[in-house]
Amino acid sequence: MIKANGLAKFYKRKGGKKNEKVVAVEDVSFTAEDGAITGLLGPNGAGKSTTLRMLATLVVPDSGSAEVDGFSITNDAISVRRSIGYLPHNAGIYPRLTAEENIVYFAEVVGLDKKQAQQRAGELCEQLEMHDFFLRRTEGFSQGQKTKVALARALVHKPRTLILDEPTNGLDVMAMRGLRKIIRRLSEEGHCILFSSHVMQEVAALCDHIAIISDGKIAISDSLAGILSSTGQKDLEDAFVIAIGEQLELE
Amino acid sequence: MRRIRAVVLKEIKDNLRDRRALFFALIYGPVILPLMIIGPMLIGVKLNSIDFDKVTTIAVIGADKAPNFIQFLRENNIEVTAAPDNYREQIAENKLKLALEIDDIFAEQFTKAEPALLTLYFNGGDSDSQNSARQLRVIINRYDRLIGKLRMLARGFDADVLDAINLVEDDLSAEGEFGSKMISHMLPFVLVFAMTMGGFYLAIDSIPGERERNSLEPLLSLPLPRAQLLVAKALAVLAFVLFSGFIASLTFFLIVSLAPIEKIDEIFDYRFIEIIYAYILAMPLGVFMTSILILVSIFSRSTKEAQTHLGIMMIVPMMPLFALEFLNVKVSSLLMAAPIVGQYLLLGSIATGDVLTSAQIIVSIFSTLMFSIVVFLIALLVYRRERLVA
Repeated sequence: MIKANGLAKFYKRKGGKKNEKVVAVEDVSFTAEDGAITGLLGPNGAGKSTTLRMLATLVVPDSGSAEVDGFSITNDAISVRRSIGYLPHNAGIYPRLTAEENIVYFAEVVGLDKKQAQQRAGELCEQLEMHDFFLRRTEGFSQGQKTKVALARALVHKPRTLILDEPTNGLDVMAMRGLRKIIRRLSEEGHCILFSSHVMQEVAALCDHIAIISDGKIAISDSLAGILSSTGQKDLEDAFVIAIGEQLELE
Repeated sequence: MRRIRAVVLKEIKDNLRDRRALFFALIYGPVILPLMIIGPMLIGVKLNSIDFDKVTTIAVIGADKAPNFIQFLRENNIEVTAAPDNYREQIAENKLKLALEIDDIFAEQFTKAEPALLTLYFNGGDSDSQNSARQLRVIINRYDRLIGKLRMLARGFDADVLDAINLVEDDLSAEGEFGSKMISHMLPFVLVFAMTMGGFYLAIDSIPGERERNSLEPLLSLPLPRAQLLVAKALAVLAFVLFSGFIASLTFFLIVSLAPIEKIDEIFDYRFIEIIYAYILAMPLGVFMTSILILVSIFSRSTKEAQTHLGIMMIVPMMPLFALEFLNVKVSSLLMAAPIVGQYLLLGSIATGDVLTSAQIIVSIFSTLMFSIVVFLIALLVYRRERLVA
């Protein structure tokens, strides 16, 4: 369960005047429930990654607050980290380690001993169907294989909440379908899943709840049906354009 | 502790699988470089040293004109052969080391107690020839003094009257021979350089490298405080630093003890235990180098940047070493207390044979370790900034 309330983050502009700030995220409030898939939908540069980074306690918000499973991201970062599995924008796995070693490493860092870690990695291999490449070094893995390893790593400590930053980026159709299946199953198991994307169809197909973000602000946050009815549109793409305050092209 | 151990072991495993890193850490720094530095120096030692106990053969023109003198040469391990006719050309072309010409009027001059004429032909451009000439000059001077004294004695003088001053030269440094001294002085440099090379790639790979391959964000989202993560990474780097230093010590020992040069063990009386002692004294420098590697890596945004920065920064901690070599600084307790500098002096003392008090040793090690910790704390502060991921 994630509750974000007025999150904001500014960066200093590089090479510009002093004190000139770039707004990354200005006002982000939304709720992501357990057992549901929440999509953070927005164009490139809207502040999706920054929002997820704040929720993953990697960066500290300049104002606003958020809670993950009841823990504050600013005051109790370590508890938040115990509770989340975070899959960043790029898979970011170690090329000289095997898939198994990548997963075991993270398991050990979260505090399992070697035996428990290997057992947990075995379970994840089963769960994410990684048998074909489990014992190979990850150098040269396809994007789909890398994403699976990274997702397994994020799941290693059985987190209740999953934060996935554009997980389907760069995946082929089959890999994407496979990943969606996994995400659905995790949601059915009761996990809270928050994932970001700029692909309308994907969000429409997968999410129970959608938060549309534009220029660092949440424009609208509702179920798919709710968003369509409040914007008076038939598909999400048109609703998205209306929601971020643009005019529809007249045909 | 278990988590820190997991990170340390992973970083070591990862680095062991990186062939390029391994080549630099275990072969280039601690084996190839010492060979390249010390090898030529050893050859230099061989060229410049004279072995008066070894029988040397020289060409003499007119040996029959001074039988007593020739006898004296033989007693001083000089074997005499007749010179070829074209000895001048042969010397010029390096085919003959040198030739000694005993003049026709040598015997006559000698009998009259006039300075008797000897001519020494040698090739100043050839170090072998120069060495032989040096050796012969020493022996001839001895003969000259001996005959002079005998003549004075025969005339009823005390020969010592002529010696206004009796200058005794005694080089009190341990070895005396310049080349071998240089090699001893290279030991700290060889150790420190090998140590730095040992941790170089791991530091780069595990800090800016981790960021570059995007594995830093997921790692930092785990419930492991950043400080512990950095401590673990530093320990992994330190392990390589110390291991490379150990290999370098072995290499140094093997080079000076196995080099196929006669009498090498007289020039270097290193025992293995002394090299190990030097290695132990170099350990605090290893800790310092680790801190520097970590700090510079954190400030670098990419591996390429880190390589550039470290390439420059590697030299900085070695500056005191060179300064001490060239400035010929006197060892004082105050200087020993200066971090890094004191440690170099400690290592240098092995080469010079100076004896340091255990208080000086402890102060030096303590100050170097403290300074390393300060550098590491700065690194920790920087590592905790969020700019790391943003």
